[in-house]
Amino acid sequence: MRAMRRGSDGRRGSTLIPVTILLGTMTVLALVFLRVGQRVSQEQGAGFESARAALLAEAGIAEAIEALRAGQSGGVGTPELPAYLGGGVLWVEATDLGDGRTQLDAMAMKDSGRAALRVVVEGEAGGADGAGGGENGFPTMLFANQHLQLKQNVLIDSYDSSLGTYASQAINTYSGVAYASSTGGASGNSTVQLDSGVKVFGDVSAGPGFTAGLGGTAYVSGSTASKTQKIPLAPIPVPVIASSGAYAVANSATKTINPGTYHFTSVTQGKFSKLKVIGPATIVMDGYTTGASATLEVDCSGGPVTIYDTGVWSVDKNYVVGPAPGTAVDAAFLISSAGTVQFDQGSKIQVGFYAPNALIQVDQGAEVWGALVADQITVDQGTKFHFDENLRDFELPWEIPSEEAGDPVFTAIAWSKIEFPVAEWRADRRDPLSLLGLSRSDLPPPVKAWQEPEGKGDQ
Amino acid sequence: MGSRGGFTLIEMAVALVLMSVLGGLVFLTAESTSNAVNTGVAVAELDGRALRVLERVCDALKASSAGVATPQAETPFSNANLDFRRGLGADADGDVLWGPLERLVLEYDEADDGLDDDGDGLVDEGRLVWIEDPGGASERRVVLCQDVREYLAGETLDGDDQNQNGLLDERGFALDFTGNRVTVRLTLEGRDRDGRLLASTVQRSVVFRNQGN
Repeated sequence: MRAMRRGSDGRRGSTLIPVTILLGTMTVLALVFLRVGQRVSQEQGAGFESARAALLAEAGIAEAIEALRAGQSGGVGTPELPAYLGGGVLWVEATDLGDGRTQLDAMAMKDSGRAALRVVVEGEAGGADGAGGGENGFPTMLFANQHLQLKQNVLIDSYDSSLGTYASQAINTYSGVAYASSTGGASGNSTVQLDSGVKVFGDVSAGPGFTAGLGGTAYVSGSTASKTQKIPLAPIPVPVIASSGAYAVANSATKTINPGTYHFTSVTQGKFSKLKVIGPATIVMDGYTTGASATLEVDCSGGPVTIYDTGVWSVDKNYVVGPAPGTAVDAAFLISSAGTVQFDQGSKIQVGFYAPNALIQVDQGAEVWGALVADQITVDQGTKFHFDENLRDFELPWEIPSEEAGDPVFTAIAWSKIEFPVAEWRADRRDPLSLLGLSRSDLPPPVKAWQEPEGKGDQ
Repeated sequence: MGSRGGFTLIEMAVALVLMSVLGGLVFLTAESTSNAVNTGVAVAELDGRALRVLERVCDALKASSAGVATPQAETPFSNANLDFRRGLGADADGDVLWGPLERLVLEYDEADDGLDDDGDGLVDEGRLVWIEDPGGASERRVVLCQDVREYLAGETLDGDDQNQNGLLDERGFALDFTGNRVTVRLTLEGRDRDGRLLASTVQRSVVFRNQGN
């Protein structure tokens, strides 16, 4: 018995060796299979990520063409601050090749995927077709280059001064509100916000890449689609006319300016005064000041009246500017100066205003029959606006690009894949946000990353 | 010592029968599961291979133009070979700059005799070859894939459209042109570990991004 126990003691632990070898072998095999599986998975994943990056680059090209159509350079984002889209980043470099051709190099990174495309497009920005029929006049009731907010209960509709008075045309009703026609509207190059209770009988269109916001019970009878192209507010070419000095109308007096061209260093109207201007007339004034309840009457039956204001605008309450009785409106103020053009309470405005550098402020109790175009427009609640369709034909200095859909302005003439240009990021396949050290909130969407043409500031 | 307990012969027999039945069931289940897994893995591998080739072909054709892709058989016929060029950009006149000639060609991998000459279990299978600068000094041949079925899945050489895709007797790699668009079809075949014949067919349409010639 003792001998047997000794023999058994001698073999104790001998099974540990083969078991260890077996386990080791199995572990190595498992690791090898795991590694192979990972490699296959990585390979397939890389293929998908490259395909996704290529799709992002294509999206970048589409965005760049939209930017070109809007008069921008076609560039979108930069390598340092690319645009964020669909979980990846992209940027587009635009090179003007001359003769209306632009080379667009779109680069995209999505996870470990990298892609770059080169597309050469040919074409020019849209022509001078107006949105309403080929004119460069006033296209809508309100047009602001910057954010436009219509406060509560503002009303916008339209009428045609060549067909009679507004009152004779305001025979329609909607929800208890009388209105004339539905071609009025509000538009701009940026956002357009309608507060609750606003009623617009016409279209509301924000700028490219922006949206029109409708609050509460705001109502728009027409479209709220955004414009596809920005409309730059062109500077005013003020005619050079020899100065006749200052011009003044005394309190409660009435004076008339006959057809012709004039340049006054200032025009001043006293309280309750009336100034009549008979068209065709072109008046350049280096400043305009009135007392309360002054009236400016334009008679356009013989031709248009165009008034250039290059200086101060200081008009008191209850100001009235409008047509001679029974005549259509074919008149506008073209205000080249910056500053504020204010319509105080009780003002009645029946002409167009084009003020590319100014803020037009319409106070509560004022009413406008005509059209307003300005860098900024602010309107108090309850204000009423009636777009005069007759002003669509008024000659303004800007050019309204065509908004016709389905008419490709830019055509791709060459398409090719190119090598991703940033060698460092070709090699470092980390997620692009980690690579750039940015977070998603730091990056703009493609439409907010459009690059302007060189030498062109924001209008 | 006392009495010794044990199993009777009947008890042993019943136990053996039950264990045999259970063992058989386990074996059959494991066998069928293993077969299904093997087939699934083989099909997935075949699908993946076909999709990768399709992606590569479409990616190249995308950068070409209908004007520089020849020949273009008219429906209901299709091509198994294609010469094309890829766009590299535009010159000063706005014309597309074309890269060197490239060719996609479906070659037989063995004699076209209805037999499995190379003993791989496939009959008259082909290989899809990509040739850069064919016939030129810098000619380069890349075999994109092997085991291309002689005719697309469901199709045989008989003048009929058995697979009802609008094409007659299309080869295992077939190009079908419609205007500025080309549809690429590919069938790969193979056998799983148990010798079952498998096939994977993929297709994709791609629009030529360049124009002109």
